[in-house]
Amino acid sequence: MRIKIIQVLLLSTLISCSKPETTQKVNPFYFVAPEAIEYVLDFQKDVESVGLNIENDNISFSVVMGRLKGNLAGIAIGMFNPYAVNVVLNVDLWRVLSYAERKALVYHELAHDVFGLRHNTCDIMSGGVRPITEEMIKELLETLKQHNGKG
Amino acid sequence: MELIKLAELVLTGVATPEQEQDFYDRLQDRD
Repeated sequence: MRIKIIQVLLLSTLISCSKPETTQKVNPFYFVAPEAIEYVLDFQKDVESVGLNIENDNISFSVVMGRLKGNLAGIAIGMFNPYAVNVVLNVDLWRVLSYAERKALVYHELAHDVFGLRHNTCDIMSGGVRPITEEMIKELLETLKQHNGKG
Repeated sequence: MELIKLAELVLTGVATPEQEQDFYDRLQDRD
């Protein structure tokens, strides 16, 4: 009887050891202000075109409008948090920006918050808000690829 | 206080002047 019990225990130990490990993928929660959706989707499409993922490890992803002091165009609150993207765009400034300027602002803040890209790493991450160009997007994507490769 | 909590107070207009100053001071490199 005792041998039987030992055999069962050994067998159950072997079975539990051989179980494949499963990692649970958490679906991120998204909230993007309606005004910013098309710009966020453009950013997603562009980063995916170079093999990067807008989700990364983030489980919470929000881009909202808010009133910010002075000439702050936007802030990336979740920049140093690998699990959360929390971007706030200055609603008062947003109203007076052109399409290309809004796109530059969203790309700048998402590059900060999703990928941790710092100021002065490329044209779009430097200086104030100005209209985005194809060259600026191309340079940003190259910078993100290199930055992501470095970890 | 966590930055996200501070942001909530500032963006909803209920932060004290000290909290608001702390919030904007901590935003360096994130704007």
